Amino acid sequence: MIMAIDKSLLSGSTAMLLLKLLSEKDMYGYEMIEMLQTRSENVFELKAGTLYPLLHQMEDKGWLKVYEQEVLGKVRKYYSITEKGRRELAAKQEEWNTYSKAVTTVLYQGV
Amino acid sequence: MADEIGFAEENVRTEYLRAIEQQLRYKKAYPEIERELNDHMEDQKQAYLAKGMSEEEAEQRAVKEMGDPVVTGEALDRIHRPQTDWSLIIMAIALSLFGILMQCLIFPHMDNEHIATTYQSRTILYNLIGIAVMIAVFFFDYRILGKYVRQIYGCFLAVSFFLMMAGIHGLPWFIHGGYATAFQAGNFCQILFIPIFAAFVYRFRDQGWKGMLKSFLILLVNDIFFLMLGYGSLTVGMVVQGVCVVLLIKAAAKGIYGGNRRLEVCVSALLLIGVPVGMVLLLTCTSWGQSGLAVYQIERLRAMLHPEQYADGAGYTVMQAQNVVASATLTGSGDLGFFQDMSGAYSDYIISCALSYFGILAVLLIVAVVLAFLGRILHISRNQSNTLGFLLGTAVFCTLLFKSMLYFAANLGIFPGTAVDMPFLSFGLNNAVSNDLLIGLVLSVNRYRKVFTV
Repeated sequence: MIMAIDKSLLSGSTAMLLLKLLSEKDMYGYEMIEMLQTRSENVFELKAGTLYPLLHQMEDKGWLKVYEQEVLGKVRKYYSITEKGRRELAAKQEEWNTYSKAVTTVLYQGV
Repeated sequence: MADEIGFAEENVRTEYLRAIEQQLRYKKAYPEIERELNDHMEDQKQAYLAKGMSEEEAEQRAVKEMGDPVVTGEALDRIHRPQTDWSLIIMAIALSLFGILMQCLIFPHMDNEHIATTYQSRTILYNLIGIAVMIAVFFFDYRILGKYVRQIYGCFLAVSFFLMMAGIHGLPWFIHGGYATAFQAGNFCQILFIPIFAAFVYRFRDQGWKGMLKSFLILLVNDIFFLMLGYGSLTVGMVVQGVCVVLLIKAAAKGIYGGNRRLEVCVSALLLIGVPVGMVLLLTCTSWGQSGLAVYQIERLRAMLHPEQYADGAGYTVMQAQNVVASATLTGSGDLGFFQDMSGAYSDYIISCALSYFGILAVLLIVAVVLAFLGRILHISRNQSNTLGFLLGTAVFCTLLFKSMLYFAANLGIFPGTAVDMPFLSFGLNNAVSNDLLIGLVLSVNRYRKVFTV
């Protein structure tokens, strides 16, 4: 079931999610969208039109590197996470933990 | 019917891609983006087809899934813009100006009336030509070098051969033109091989051992051409060797050849030792052509080891440089000291002269600028996603690093002079043009950093 989720909730953390996926293995764009969809149980349906500018931006920031590789007769553009990207992921994850803990606390404490 | 569907399909997708292209102000970025987005739509379409959709529906949905092309195109346009590295340009000009200043302090002391009166305007002209070459190369799409490297190398060998023959049989006026001392075609061609070699390594990428072997063979062919025929300078030849082998190691370590990285690095590291040893053996043993070490080269090598025994000849400049170092002061003596009337000091001993004239602090400042300059080039090449860009940047970095190291070593009296020129500081047309051309390549690599990534 696809949930209609507020976009702004997603945008800030999309980079973190992509870094997380890429920290496990190198992927090309289509793979990332599919993987994100499967792992979020269809909650995150990232549009390709949003994904690629974001990936290119992350490459520009030095979080990702790109290379071309032929797989099954098709040359694909793969993205791979850099050391800088891994540090960024760790920082973003830390930030996210603090944030989600705070939200949970406010929502379910007291009252 | 099938044709109609095919046509309709084409329309939706081409329309989407055209809308993206329209948003990109820098069109050179488009082909790579187009390929990536098109591949994505193809994958999406195949997935829909597998789910049982009709051809037309799958295509329509795949394009629709991409989102608004204008928004995407605008976002991509903000990223993919050409870059200008002003810091590198400013440092190059500052170093050139310092070179001109030092040379102009030295020229009047030359015994040769001709040098004293004409070299001043000539060095300014050379530097201007160099800067013009740098800017021209900056706008050049460096990928052309990767695409046509075989043709370029063919032309390069032909031109080098012509210049060499011209050198033996007398230079035609347009090469000579009274500038014979300024333009040493041999050294110029030798240095130009370096970016060509980087492009060859790029061509042989992903070929594993075969690629490494091919790269090495190219290097060998070039060695035979230049060193065996005695064309160009031995020291410059050694710089070229060093740079090319370091490039092989870097390429192997980065996995550019594919295959077993560790083994490839070991083999290329062996070459780093093997190549110079082999060169020396060949040069000393062989007796054909003009090959073998010239008498003056052997004397220079001996003078390097025992300068005091050759104080009248090859060891003289080495000892003078050592004297300058020994008597250096913090702020300098305001004269050229031991290099007062040494011929060629305006090319080979700029740093020694600066040490004598302006002192240790000024020389430290120059060292700092040179290091910052090299650091910037290293930074640019390391931040390259594009393989050719990385190789070219690394090649230029190594070339300038090795040249600078040799030059400073000579100026501190630990290496014989007339070895190599110092980028931007030494006098000479081939120096200005070859170094500025290499910097121009780095600027070009940086210019397209955000335009092409693979």
